[in-house]
Amino acid sequence: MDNPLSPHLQIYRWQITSVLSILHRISGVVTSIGSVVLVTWLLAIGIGEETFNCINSIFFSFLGRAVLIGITLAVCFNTLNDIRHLFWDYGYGFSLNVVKFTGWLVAIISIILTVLIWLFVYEVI
Amino acid sequence: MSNSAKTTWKIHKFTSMVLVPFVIYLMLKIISISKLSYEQIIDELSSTWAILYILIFTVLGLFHMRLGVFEIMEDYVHDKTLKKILKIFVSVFILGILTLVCLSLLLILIS
Repeated sequence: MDNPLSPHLQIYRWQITSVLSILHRISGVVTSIGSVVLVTWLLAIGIGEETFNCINSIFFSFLGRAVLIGITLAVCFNTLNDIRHLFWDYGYGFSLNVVKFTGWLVAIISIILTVLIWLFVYEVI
Repeated sequence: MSNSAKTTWKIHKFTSMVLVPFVIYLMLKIISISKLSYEQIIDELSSTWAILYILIFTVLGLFHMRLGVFEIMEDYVHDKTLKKILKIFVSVFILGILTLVCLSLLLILIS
């Protein structure tokens, strides 16, 4: 056993730091599975216009949009929280107050970004 | 921590760093592409830069994915056989994505 193990989730009290740590992993897995959506779209473009229109109508159905919005949120969160992790790697932002603050910041900004992206897609803004 | 774990961590961090601008660009591009017609999308995607971007992003993304998923498995999957099966599954998934991306690009180029 070479790597240090992560803490056992069952005995941990819920707090912003641990919740975000778990969400970071969950969003990473969601993004990984979400790559299938992106590849499906790319492949549909390659196959032809009819397939592309068909895939588009599936993606823009109610369920499709729900999935896409979920993936958008996962990508935004994973990227922003990764930037937070990169700052830690260089030794910045380690005090408890800052960790909590940047944690909330990342959570809130990823939601705002997701909303903004979808407002752009709907041409509201 | 063993040496290989350290190297793995460094590669993971490197892919994180490089992927940040790639993901931002991807988000902006997808929004603008979603407004285009099919022909315009084909035009956009068959440029050399687009193809280069897609290939580099795919390779970096898949590396990042593999390291991340393996790290999670290292923590939560303790059964050796199950871990082996999951690792094969992830590798097949990654190879599948890579193959489909290359196939899509070829189809886009010849269309």
